[in-house]
Amino acid sequence: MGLITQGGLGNGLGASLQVRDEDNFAWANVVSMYELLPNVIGFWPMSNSTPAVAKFVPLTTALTSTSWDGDAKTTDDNGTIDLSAVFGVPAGIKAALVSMTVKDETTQVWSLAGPLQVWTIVANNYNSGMGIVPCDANGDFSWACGSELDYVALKIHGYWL
Amino acid sequence: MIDFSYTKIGAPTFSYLSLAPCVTLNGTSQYLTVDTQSTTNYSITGGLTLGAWIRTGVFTTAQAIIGRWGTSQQGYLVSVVNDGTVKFEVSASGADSFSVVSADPDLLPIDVWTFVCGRYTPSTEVAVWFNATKTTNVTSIPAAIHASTAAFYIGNDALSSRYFSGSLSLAFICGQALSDRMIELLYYQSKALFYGISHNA
Repeated sequence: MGLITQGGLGNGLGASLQVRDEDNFAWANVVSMYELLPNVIGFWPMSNSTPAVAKFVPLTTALTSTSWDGDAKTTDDNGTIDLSAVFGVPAGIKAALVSMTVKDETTQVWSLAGPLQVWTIVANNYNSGMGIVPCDANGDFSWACGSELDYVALKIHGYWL
Repeated sequence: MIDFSYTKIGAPTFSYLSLAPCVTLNGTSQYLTVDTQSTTNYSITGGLTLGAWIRTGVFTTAQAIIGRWGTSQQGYLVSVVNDGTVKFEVSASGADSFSVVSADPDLLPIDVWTFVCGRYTPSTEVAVWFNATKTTNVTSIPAAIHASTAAFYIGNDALSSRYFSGSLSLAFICGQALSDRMIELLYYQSKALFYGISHNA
């Protein structure tokens, strides 16, 4: 693992002399140089050693769906929700910040969106919860209920890419 | 804040070719998208510089490298033309195109890493770099780029699905027309990753 030295140009972009082991080569300095570009907006080095950072995208207007804005649901509706098709989030998101509201004449009925669980605590009243719901490899999550619900509303307030 | 995020479409391969970290795309179904909802910064209408290192062996079809270019939503795009030249274009209306193509004989060599870069200077010129060689077009350059709503793609475009076949590395975009000097430095200083450097072991 010998050392490599390289004289660089005095450019204001980075170190003018690089000293590193040859396993790492000039990778770190090249990355730093690009990150110091004036007004750089995006940079994608395409390296597994600098993976894309999971980033939260907050939404000032929550994403909704006509299929999940107060619709009645039964156990027949239990299954995976295609979030990109139904809510319009980007394909392949890592997780979503979800609020869920349910209502029914029957108490103690549960509704699940991934690990987010809301119960009908009070009959004929809105019962709400909010949480981070991890997504599967396709960027989707599953929803299920214990028995029929008169009202189920889901909103996506943000997501992780 | 620099955006490092992307979504992988079609399971592209990430690896190293020699010393170069890169993503390899198959030319038929694979590309990367960047979520433009996450930032409004990609709605660039003024000075702009974008580019990447590319390595391809396909010159029979046009291939998009990086940009926002959709139906009636053309914005800015760097691409490979089907004759092996490199093209940079911007649109003022979303449907028109003001372009510059790397001058002959600067044709892409087969499967060799090449630095490509496009720069838009409002009302002045569009320029394309093929390694350190610059070609410009200064005719009727628009004062602003159309604020495209098309998706931001790396290795494809939203207008005509010009999938890139080969490898890409160090893709970048700046909301500013960088100086010639700065672009040349990007080429010369990142070249070491792809071609090695003289060194003392």
